[in-house]
Amino acid sequence: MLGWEYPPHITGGLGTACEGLTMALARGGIDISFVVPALLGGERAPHMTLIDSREGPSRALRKEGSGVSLSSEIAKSHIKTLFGCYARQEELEIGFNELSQRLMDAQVTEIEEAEEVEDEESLTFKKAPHGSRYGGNMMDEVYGFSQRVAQLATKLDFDLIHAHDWMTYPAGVVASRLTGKPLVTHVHSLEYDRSGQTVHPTIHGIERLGIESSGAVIAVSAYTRSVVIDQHPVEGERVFVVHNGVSGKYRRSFRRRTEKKNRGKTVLFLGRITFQKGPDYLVEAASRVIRHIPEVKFIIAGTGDMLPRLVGRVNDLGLQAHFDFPGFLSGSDVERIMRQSDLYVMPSVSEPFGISALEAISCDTPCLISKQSGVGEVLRHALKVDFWDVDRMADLMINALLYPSMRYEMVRNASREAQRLRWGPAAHRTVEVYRSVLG
Amino acid sequence: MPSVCFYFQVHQPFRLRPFSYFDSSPQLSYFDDQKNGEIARKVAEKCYIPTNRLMLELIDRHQGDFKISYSITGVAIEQMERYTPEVLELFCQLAKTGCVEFIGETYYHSLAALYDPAEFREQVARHQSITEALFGQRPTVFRNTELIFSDDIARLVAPLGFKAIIAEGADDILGWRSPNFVYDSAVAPIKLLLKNYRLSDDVAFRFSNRGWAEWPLTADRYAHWIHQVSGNGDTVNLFMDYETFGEHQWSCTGIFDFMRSLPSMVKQHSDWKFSTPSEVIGQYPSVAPISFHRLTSWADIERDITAWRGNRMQEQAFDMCYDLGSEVKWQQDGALLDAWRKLQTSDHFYYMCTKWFADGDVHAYFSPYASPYDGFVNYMNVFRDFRDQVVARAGGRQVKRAVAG
Repeated sequence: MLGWEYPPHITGGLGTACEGLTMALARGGIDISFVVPALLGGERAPHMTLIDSREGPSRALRKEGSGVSLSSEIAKSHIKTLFGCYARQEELEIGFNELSQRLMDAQVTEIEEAEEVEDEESLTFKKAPHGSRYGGNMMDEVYGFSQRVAQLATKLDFDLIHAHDWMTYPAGVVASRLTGKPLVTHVHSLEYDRSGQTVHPTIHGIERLGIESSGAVIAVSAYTRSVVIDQHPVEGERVFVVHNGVSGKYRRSFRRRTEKKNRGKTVLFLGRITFQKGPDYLVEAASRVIRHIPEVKFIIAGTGDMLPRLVGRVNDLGLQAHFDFPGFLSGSDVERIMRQSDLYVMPSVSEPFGISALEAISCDTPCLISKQSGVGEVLRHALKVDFWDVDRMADLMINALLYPSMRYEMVRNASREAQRLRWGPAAHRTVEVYRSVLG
Repeated sequence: MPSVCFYFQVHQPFRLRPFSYFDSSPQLSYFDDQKNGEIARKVAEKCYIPTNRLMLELIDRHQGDFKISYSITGVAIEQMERYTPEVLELFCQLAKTGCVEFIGETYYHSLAALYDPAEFREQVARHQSITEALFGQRPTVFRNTELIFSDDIARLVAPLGFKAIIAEGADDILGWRSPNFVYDSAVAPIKLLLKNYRLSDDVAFRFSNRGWAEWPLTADRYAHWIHQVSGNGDTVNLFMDYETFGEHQWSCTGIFDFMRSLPSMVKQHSDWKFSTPSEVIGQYPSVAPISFHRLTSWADIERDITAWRGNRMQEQAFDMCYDLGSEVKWQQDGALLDAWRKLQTSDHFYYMCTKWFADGDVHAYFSPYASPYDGFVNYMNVFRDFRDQVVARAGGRQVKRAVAG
């Protein structure tokens, strides 16, 4: 299995999902070698063999705890690799040229011919949400990983290659071609979800290459499956839906909560302030809510390229007093703000899954999510709206704020739903996908 | 000589139109005329017309030996008058056969019995009047909405002149006793006819279920199960939604053929006959008093009322609705009163039911909304506007605020 990150060193949900899935697969008797670009120390994976692509199997963290732990000094020197998910545009361009020169075959050359990205929004979006701290040449990393995996592939014994998201697809494709073993690509998100219509052609091309070269594709939701089929030339019968499980902390049972102590009501948005997350639709809907519930407050937490425009729009509407922009929040701040809010809104234009909705539920906060969110397939007890339907969004928000009875029922029932989102069934379906490609 | 007693429930609610928080309707046009008309015509075509014709055919063929009973809600009758008068005509023909009894209930298929006794009595009287006007019979047997029943409801209904009440033969109420006898209410002078839910649900719910060990059910075998009651009961009460025929169980399942041959199969055992509810209580003595210490209904495994009042949204919506009653009545405005009463129909609250995990499929099938939250939001949007209209018509006089926020 090919991954890009592994807990505790994670930037988003990918590493956590890989951990949950591999643990459940291992319980089901699947023997896994999991290759990441680098091990950084502190990883614990006694259920499988965790391999640093630079070191190879000789220094792997072996199954059943016989592995080698890395010094913190090495860990520091390679932190760029691990957190390289969001690279700068210019870095992507360099990487793209190198990639097209060096990597693989004609199919990759097709990517080169794709149109250059011109939309400014898309360009600036490529910046890391944490600023430039985790910069680095993304495409070099992707290419380097593929070369190291190619060497590893000939030394390891396996039946099938399972690659998570585009960063690992070149590695998966190379390994598959070298060994003749089938490739399964796992789509946790697509470039389309991150950038909308102005997708980066290299990344889009890599996604296409990976998906085309796969015996089967796993999508994290039926929604993502439909985007995969829409964006890439792949037969529907090769694309399978496997919903993520969620970790134990999101499956905490419902406590009969006391009503939140806010005087006014609070609505929370939390995520990247980018086009794809739909915060602008929320602002338009909010302006309609405020007319009827004057004491309401909207918290827009996060950073992103759309933030200045969003603040400008709020000012134009004269609604500054109703909005807070606390910036990027993490850890306990996230939990606290979710706990204090009366309603969590996730108005994404395109959301492969959207685990933050379940995080809100675990904080006893009901959710309003867009119908373009994969999590809605497993979370029935939420309010749902088309992201563009701001009148309906406002209607639902007003009712949710007016009636504690509805908030109570949504949280009570949704936490029961979250209880059932375990990794076991996800692993079971993954094994079925494996069987389909192994024949 | 034991009887088979058929009672069929006929009901269609006035479904609400999509109504947003920002909408307002001074004309009180809250109901989705187009959709209600479409559904009325569809159900008429699939169920009411073919089933009424079948019942006429059976009554004719058995020359008075096949008998049935109906309760048709006032809101269903209104929609038949408006959208499918031919259905109403067929019910009138059935009434004239002398083999059909009409049962009383609330005109609006409401839960008024639980909230507003005076309103409940008015709705029951209104239903008696329309039934008598249309079918020439004043009902003497009563069924409450969804067979919702308790000792309190027995006390409420007995003084209205009814001889018997139809209720669910719930296991925990009956204990070791059988539903196949006439009982007395333990608290009021009124008899009880209890549904034999196993045999009723074999037809109403399980008939087309291919996973059921008895599938496919033949009239022959079903009649054999009825005959097994011989010597151990006076009446087998088969109570179900009329929409069982052709709507819940589609025609292609063979439900019509089943019903067509059932009367002959039942009568093959010469001891058995068909009786209407009034005839049952006239022919058989009541064997014991029974207390309904809790609210029962014919719904779900629990046979309770949680499908309508099982969560806080439903409670809030009921409270909001009935808290406005005295204000609405004080105004003596027919249009307001009619809208308020149509907003009491149990279906609106059923659509807010959240207990989807145990028996959710049934609830999902009967709801026009994507979720119970959408159902709640739409109802509250409508009711808030209705309350505003009541206030406006009162000339801005202060109306008691029923709802928090």
